[in-house]
Amino acid sequence: MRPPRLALWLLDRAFDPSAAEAIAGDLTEEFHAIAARRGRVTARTWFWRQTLLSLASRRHRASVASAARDRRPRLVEDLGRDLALTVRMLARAPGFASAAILTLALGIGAATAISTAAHRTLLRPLPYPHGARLVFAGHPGGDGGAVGNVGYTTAVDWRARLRTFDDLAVIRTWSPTLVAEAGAERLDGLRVTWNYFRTLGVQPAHGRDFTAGEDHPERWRVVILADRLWRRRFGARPDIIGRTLEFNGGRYEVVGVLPPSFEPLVSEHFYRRAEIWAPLGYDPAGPASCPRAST
Amino acid sequence: MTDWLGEFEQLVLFAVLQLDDPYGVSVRQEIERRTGRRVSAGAVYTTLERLESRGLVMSRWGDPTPERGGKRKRYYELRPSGRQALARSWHAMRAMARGVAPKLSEP
Repeated sequence: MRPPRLALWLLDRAFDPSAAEAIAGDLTEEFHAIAARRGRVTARTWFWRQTLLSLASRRHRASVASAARDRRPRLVEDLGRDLALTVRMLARAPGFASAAILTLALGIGAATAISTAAHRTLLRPLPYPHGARLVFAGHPGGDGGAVGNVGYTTAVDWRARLRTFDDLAVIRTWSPTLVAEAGAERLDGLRVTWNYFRTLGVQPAHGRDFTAGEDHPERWRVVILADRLWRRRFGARPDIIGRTLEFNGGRYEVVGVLPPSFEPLVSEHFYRRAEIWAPLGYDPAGPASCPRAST
Repeated sequence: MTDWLGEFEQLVLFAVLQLDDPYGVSVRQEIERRTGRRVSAGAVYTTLERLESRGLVMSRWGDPTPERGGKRKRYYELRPSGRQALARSWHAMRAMARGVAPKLSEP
């Protein structure tokens, strides 16, 4: 059993050789006596405490002596003296020291958490190109301020009369059940107008985006997958594009996979993190349920 | 001329005087045992070094031992000037304390 090496090294550095030999020898002798009586952990703690107190007394004396020699204020020296005093006071009052350190830790932790949250929600731009120009649009919701649903035909009318915005896309929630040998799985997804991804400024990493022709009651059974879903269910196989997947509602062709950096914030805000998207496929001439609008 | 001694210097010198073979550990333990005051090894050595440089104590080296990690002990003893300085400080203290001891024990 040996006293902490780092502490011995510090003593060696802080004191001149003869003093270092005497102090390290004394502390080592007592270390062994304490270890035999009260255990190794207590002995190590004691050794460190004595080392720090000894270093502090050394620093203190050295800086008092040099302050007496030279009255000019010196930042580094003052700082060293303050630090030495701090170490001495904290070492003498371990209870207070623990409370002070705990308070600081909690304070720093809370400040970090709050600024991280503020950065995420208030400061960081949306993770889309021209994110500052994206808005949600909808009828006022029931609970004051929330964006509510819009009839599909209304959204079509809005899009036809757009002047302030470049484009407008419509979304609705969608929960297809993937039927596969590995087991059925209900997925969180969105049905979107064909221009949804280009309105967000996002392009698939593999395959292609939806086309206008696919946003049609007869031809909408094509899907774009999130990178996460592609890796999780299909082992990131490159020949996924063009394959047919079977859902509870029929067969769908995979036309694209989104880049891994894509964050489905729109679906997350209204619904859940979407992993799969298909065209809305509504006929503007026919009746439709209530999708939400997004520009 | 003889310097005046600080309070901790007096404690260290008394401990050196009390002990048979005073060195760092025994001086520190003697002060802690008699006064109940916790003392660091560094503080004792810093004081002893200062007293030695002022010519009040002198030291000699002992032999290295395994339980000290192969390091030598440093034994101290008072020089005559150290004895005088301690006596002077102690007399001064007694002179100042004379007659007020009952007041000190008042609540």
